[in-house]
Amino acid sequence: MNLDGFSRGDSPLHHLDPRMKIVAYLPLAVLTALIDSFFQVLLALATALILAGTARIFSRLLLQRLAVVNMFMAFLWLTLPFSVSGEPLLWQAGALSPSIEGTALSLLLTLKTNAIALYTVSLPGTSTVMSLSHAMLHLRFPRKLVTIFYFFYRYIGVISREFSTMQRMLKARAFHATSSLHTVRVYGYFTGILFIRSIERAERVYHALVMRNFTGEFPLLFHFNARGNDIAFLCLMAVVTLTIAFL
Amino acid sequence: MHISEGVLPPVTLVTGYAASAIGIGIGLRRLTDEKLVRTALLSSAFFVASFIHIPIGPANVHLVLNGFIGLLAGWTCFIAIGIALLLQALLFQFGGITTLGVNMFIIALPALFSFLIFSPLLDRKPFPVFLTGFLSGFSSVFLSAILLSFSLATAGSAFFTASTLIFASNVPLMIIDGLVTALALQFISNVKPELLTQ
Repeated sequence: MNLDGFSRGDSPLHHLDPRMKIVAYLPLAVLTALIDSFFQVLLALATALILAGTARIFSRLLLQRLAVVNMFMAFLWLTLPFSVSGEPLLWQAGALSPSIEGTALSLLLTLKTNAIALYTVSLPGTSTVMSLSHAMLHLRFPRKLVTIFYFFYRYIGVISREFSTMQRMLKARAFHATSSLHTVRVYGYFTGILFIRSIERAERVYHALVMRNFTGEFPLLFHFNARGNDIAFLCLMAVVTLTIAFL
Repeated sequence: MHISEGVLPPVTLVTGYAASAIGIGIGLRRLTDEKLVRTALLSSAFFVASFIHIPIGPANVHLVLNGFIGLLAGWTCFIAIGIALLLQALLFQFGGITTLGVNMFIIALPALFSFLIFSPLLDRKPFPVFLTGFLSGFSSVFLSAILLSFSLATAGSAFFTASTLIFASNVPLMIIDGLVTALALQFISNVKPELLTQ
């Protein structure tokens, strides 16, 4: 299963120190979630597009990811223009007239969400999850949580192989998912087996770890070292973030 | 359904993070090394199981199974659910980093309830396992949908319609998740009952 689909690449952002990317990303994402003037949001979106361009991530996959983000927005577009009162946008028909204010709010929220999604793909998304969790340890995130995250990520591949094997087995028996009780029953047992196998795997992994003297944490053997361009990138992002915040 | 970035007001985002931090903290206190690995793999299974899509007419829903995770992970369910949501936010843009706290709370609090209420029933078996499973799955998605609508409504009265719509769209999922949890639980209690009594 190819999870971190954007992490392979040769752009300047792919070569940055993952610690710097996390440090630049978090304040920018929080800030963008909180701003509410169109001018600031457009600046944020421009930043997001420049980052995405620098990371060279424009692809079909990116469109698919953005489609997911905008599914939630579709709910807001269906309701907000009607529930926010204000000047009618196009026509006047009682409760069914979209207001300018409501439409503007939907647009603002959509732009914000998409900007943050683009930051996420172009900053942390351009590092592998393994190097991100390594960076989280260096940034003093709680060690136990990072260790669980490491195991979680490590074994997704294994569990999803079990998942595909079982799906192939269903296919070989001509199973086809339909809206029926039969489908629900098949997937109920399917889920049961999946979880039993995960827990059994967890027991084996734990025993193997105990044999190797595991004490709940992994020592850090490799260290990042930030180069000039990592620092320069971080300074640049700080300036951009402050500009969006105070304009 | 996860709440996207940029919609909720700061108060809700901060409250979400604070409440989830408490849940994670409780989980960490009860986390032995053995449970650490088990929690991680339950989380992997939770993540993978969310790829199961069940068709309803022309659309399809993906399983949540938070009640089920609650029964299997117990007190560590906030951790198991939280890290899976973090990865979904980072890699798939489901939800987001600023809304992670809120989304975690929405999914994990009902999981914790499911553990506290339905786990004792599994031990003593006053009810058939199937019924316990159904109630656990159904009520967890139901509670999550309520928490989701409520969180969205904190963004202002203009969001009431959207939150009602989102709640309504989750009703079929409650029934399906209930049935799948019931069947999966019954399967486990037939095949490997010791997993449910610890």
